[in-house]
Amino acid sequence: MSRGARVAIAGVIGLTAFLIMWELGVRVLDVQPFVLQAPSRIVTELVDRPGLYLGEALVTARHAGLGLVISLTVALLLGAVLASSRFAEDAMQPVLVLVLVTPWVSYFVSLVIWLGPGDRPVVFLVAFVTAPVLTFAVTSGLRSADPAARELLASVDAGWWEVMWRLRLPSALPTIFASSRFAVALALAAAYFGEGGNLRTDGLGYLGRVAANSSLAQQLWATIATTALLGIVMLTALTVVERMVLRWHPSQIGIRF
Amino acid sequence: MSGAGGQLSLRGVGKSFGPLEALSSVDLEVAPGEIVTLLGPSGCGKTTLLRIIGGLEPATTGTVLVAGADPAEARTHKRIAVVPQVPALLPWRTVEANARLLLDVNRGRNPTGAPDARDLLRDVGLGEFLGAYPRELSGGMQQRVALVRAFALGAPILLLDEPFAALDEITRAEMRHLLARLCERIDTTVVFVTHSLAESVFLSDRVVVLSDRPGVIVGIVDVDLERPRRPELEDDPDFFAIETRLRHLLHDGIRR
Ligand SMILES: Nc1ncnc2c1ncn2[C@@H]1O[C@H](COP(=O)(O)OP(=O)(O)OP(=O)(O)O)[C@@H](O)[C@H]1O
Ligand SMILES: [Mg+2]
Repeated sequence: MSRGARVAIAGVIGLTAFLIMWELGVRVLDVQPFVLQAPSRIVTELVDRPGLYLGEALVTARHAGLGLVISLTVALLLGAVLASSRFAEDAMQPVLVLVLVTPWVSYFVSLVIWLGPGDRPVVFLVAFVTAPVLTFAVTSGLRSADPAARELLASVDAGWWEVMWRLRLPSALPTIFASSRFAVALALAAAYFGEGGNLRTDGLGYLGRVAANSSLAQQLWATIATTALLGIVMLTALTVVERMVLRWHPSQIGIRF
Repeated sequence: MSGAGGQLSLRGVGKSFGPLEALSSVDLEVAPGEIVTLLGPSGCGKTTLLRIIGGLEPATTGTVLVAGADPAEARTHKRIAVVPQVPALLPWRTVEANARLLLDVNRGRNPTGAPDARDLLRDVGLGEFLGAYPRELSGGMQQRVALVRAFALGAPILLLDEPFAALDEITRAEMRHLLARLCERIDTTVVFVTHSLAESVFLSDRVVVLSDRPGVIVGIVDVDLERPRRPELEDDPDFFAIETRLRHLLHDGIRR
């Protein structure tokens, strides 16, 4: 049996065992519906209204995806500057840490007032909370380029942009991909929360908030499950891209498609 | 390509890093097409001297002329090709793309008439590995790519900093024979840094022996062995005689 097949089978066994224990736990202990729903009830809800959840998932995916694209763009630009100047990095470090540690739950209302209700504050929140993580990754990744290769390029007077494009950016990719996993998880959480705290947008977070306000426990848990599935889909897509882009990297060696 | 302009002139070159004096008043003239080896104990400033010639580090004292120009200017005009101590291949580039790396940047300054990278790779026995990635190569093969990368630039001056230091004895011997063949075929001025007596005698027209830090020239030995140099030469009594002279000079420089 191939390694890939073994991993897949082990994963399925683990997940199945987890779901069975969850189902039994909820039934045996008679857990309140809002605290925890049995997987069977969540599945029933999803199967009953697949269109609804798929549609809302696409909205949430758009919010998270758009925010991540903006955040990555900012991180690449900012990271290039920070990696080129120690002073800029030292100056920017506390600001990024501040953004990272400030609980976004606390200031989201202000964002809605500032940007108006709708998609904009949600996308902004996603981009804002993921930018520090990605910026740190880009900066340290760009710095990690082999000094001997840098000297080699300097010996033929390669330009700043050429060094960036041909050496530093490729060297940074493994670090950027590794941090992107955290960024994806963070982005989904921010999108779900932002949609819920918003007056005029769709998305799983909005659906979850409505469910919570109307005591629809089954619907609330269906949005939670759908968000988790969306996260798995996004991480899988990221892994596929990573394997294609980083074919040369030691972390990917031995992996076959 | 002729070696015209491939000339190197060092006058009273010294280098200090703060209080540490690495090199002291080095005078050296290298003729076009000449192959000169720098031989000296560890830490005597050989790498520093190469970096000064390559325009990567300014000298503290003295003047350096590379092909009649300032080293920094020679560098911007891509007149200098460097082979570092480690191969420094880019893992995401194939062998062939790595061999072309120096041509792919600062393109406006590419010299005309540079030898074809693909031909050179075939020449050094890597014809079947053009599309391979560096991790699929042995250490010796990687260093061969690094040599080709420098030769493919077609620069009039080649600087090599202990390129074979990390290789085993047998591979090292093969590599110096291969480098001699490449130098035979492509006419460039070469400054070669090494710890190895055999390498210095086999490859050079002249060997410059440096002392302990701060490096000063303790002697220059002409190597009047026939060219082209063949591997059999290493069994020749004349070869041993020059090696012995160099060894004595080196020891004098250390005990100084
Ligand atoms: N950037 C630097 N800053 C401070 N000191 C330096 C720097 N570069 C070299 N040195 C010092 O200059 C001296 C000469 O160094 P260099 O690397 O040129 O020696 P080397 O002859 O190449 O030695 P090896 O054969 O071991 O490579 C050493 O004492 C080293 O510590
Ligand atoms: Mg050195």
